[in-house]
Amino acid sequence: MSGGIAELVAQLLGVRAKLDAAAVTALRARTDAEVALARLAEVQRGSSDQRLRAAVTDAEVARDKAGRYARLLAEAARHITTYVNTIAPGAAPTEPAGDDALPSGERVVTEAERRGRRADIAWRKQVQKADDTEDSLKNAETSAREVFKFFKQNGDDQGGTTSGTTSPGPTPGQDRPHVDNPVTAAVMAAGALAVTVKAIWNHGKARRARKRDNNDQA
Amino acid sequence: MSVSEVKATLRAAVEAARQGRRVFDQAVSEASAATATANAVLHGSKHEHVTAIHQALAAAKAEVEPTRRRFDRIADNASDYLTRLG
Repeated sequence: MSGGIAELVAQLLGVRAKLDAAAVTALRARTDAEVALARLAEVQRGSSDQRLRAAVTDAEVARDKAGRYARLLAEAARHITTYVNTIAPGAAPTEPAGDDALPSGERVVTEAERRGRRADIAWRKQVQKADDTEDSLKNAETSAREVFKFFKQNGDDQGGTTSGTTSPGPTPGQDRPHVDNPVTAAVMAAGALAVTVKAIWNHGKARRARKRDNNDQA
Repeated sequence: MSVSEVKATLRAAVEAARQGRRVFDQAVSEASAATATANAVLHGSKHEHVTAIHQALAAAKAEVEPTRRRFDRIADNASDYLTRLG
């Protein structure tokens, strides 16, 4: 592989990591919209006020659009992966793409853990109800396998993985799960967020959860 | 739900919407920086995957302002209603 291609690949992987991180941030915004929507829906039960109804619609659209924004960023990241694999078959860089790669993965996993811990048991059941997250999980899993295989074939196996399959599921009570693909991590975070929001909705613990969220943000 | 509970819940909605706007802006800032780098690095390529990257990023960019407006309107409308409650 020429130096030019190697540099290009490294730059593109750096961009990919940044896009995945941005996608996760957008998912957090989506969760805020979902929380706003849950509050407004509580109030709306006893009212037919037009502004309140408008606010509910706005919250629904904001939630959907923030989610769409996140998906589009993750999609761009996925195309970058495909393109890199096309221009550098068998010649992927053995180093992560700069410092961005690790914080990105770490960040999404931390996010998933922080928000999803309490909902781990309900994960698989709940996540199927959360928009199109199930499809995203399947896609991400396939994508993660492909990327994992690609790097493994090219000498990037750092030896820490014991299984040939990557599961998007949680690993409760253990160390941070090993995530091969930032997209998988982002989708995991999305699933965890969706589950958390459902828990808030279902059990009416909104106020307490908000305090926790605020503390988290601080 | 008492009036004071309604008001507290509305305030929480407004706060969540404002926080959502801030967090969304942060995502946009991160994505914009990555997009600028992608455009510079991929400049001139007509490869189909490169086109797909540009398309996804352009579609994402088109969502930015409408999304911001919605977040702002949640807060505006809910605040209006809150004011009316006295």
